[in-house]
Amino acid sequence: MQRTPIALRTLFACAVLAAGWMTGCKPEPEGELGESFDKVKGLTGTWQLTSFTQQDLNSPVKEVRDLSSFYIDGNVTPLQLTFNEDRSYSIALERGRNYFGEGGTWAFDDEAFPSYIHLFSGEDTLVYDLGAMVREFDQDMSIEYRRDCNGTATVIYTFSFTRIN
Amino acid sequence: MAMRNLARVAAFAAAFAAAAVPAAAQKAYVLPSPTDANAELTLYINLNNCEDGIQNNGLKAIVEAFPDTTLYLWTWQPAGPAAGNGNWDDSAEHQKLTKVGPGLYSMTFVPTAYYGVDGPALFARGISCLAKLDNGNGVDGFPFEAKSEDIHIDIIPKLCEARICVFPELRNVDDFVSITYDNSKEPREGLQNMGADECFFYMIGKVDAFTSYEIAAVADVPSHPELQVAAMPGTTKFRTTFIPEELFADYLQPGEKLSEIWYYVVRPGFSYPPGPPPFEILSLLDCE
Repeated sequence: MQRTPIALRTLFACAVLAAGWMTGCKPEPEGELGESFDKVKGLTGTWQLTSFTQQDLNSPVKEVRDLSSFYIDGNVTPLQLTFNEDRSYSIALERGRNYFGEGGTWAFDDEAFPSYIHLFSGEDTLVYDLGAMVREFDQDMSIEYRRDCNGTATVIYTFSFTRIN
Repeated sequence: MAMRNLARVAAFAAAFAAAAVPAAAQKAYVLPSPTDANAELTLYINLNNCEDGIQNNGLKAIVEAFPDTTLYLWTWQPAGPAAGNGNWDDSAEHQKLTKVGPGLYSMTFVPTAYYGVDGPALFARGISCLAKLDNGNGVDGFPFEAKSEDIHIDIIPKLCEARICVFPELRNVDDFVSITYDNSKEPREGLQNMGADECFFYMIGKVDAFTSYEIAAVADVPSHPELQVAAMPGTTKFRTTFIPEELFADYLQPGEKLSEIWYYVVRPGFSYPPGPPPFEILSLLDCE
């Protein structure tokens, strides 16, 4: 019983030393942070579909199935989306179901930190998740269509694209 | 060597304990989990983890005072039981729970039959229930009603290993839907050992109880490529993937929406004696 305070003091001293050692090893930041990249310019360009998958959110293992063959058959040009800097967009689709409307205008939900892309097409407004933010030099981009039914998440369709222009 | 075995035993015990704690700590759970909606499951209610007084409920104290008293299940989700709960002051006898241990009660049933719902409804809604005395009203000498608090259990679907499996578990009319048929699990001799181009589905799209559309008569099914089920190379399985509303687009009238697809396996030259087999039913969600 009498040894406990000594053990605690020793433990505390070790913790202080360890914290000091770790702080001492942490390098000081040097230079200045560059400007954050422009997300609009990052998305601008023409993107061609490379894969299309469906994930079952109610499967115990969240199973994902590749449905690319519904869009990509090796003969016709796969789905292409073109996002322009003036916020217009167009779609070229020869094969597969159209989830992106007939073209129109587009916007991010947040210009600085976008999570969603809005597609305003005729009477429809489509809202999809962005798989990741895209920089001008990134070659890959994905758009997720998350579906639910009466509040229950059902499936996620993921469209993966590569930049061709 | 002995130390290594001891370490293994200790690791196993720790893993077992870690796996067991979540179920033991819950007010209710089902086994097996993941669950096959069409197979027996056992629902457990653990009163030891329940708490009296949070919803005018006082069953725990009553059971602690009278441990051998009979309890009944009262459930309302995914639906009320097909055979009913009975009345609040007089539960139906088929709702009687089995005492498994001190404070632990169970009931075993096939969820789709017991609730009269399909798998997607079960998985989407889960099970909501409570335990109660035959008469759920208050008991002299005890505060509150003779019931537990409301309990909800999420049901995790089991990966399908059956003759016919549908992906995804929950699907709307405009989702991609895959039906996989494992020919190695086919009990009918005339359908066994199918060739790669021999598998088809006869399909009916149901709008409601009175309206349904047949894509082709059974005899004409093999001449409809959209009804062919493709062989999966290197397996005994066949799979077709389609969007229900597109498959039946030529038949549906404006304003009509599919609620179910009824189907069975067709092989050219094979006929089901003495008549068509029971339909497989693919349910489609009705989303608001």
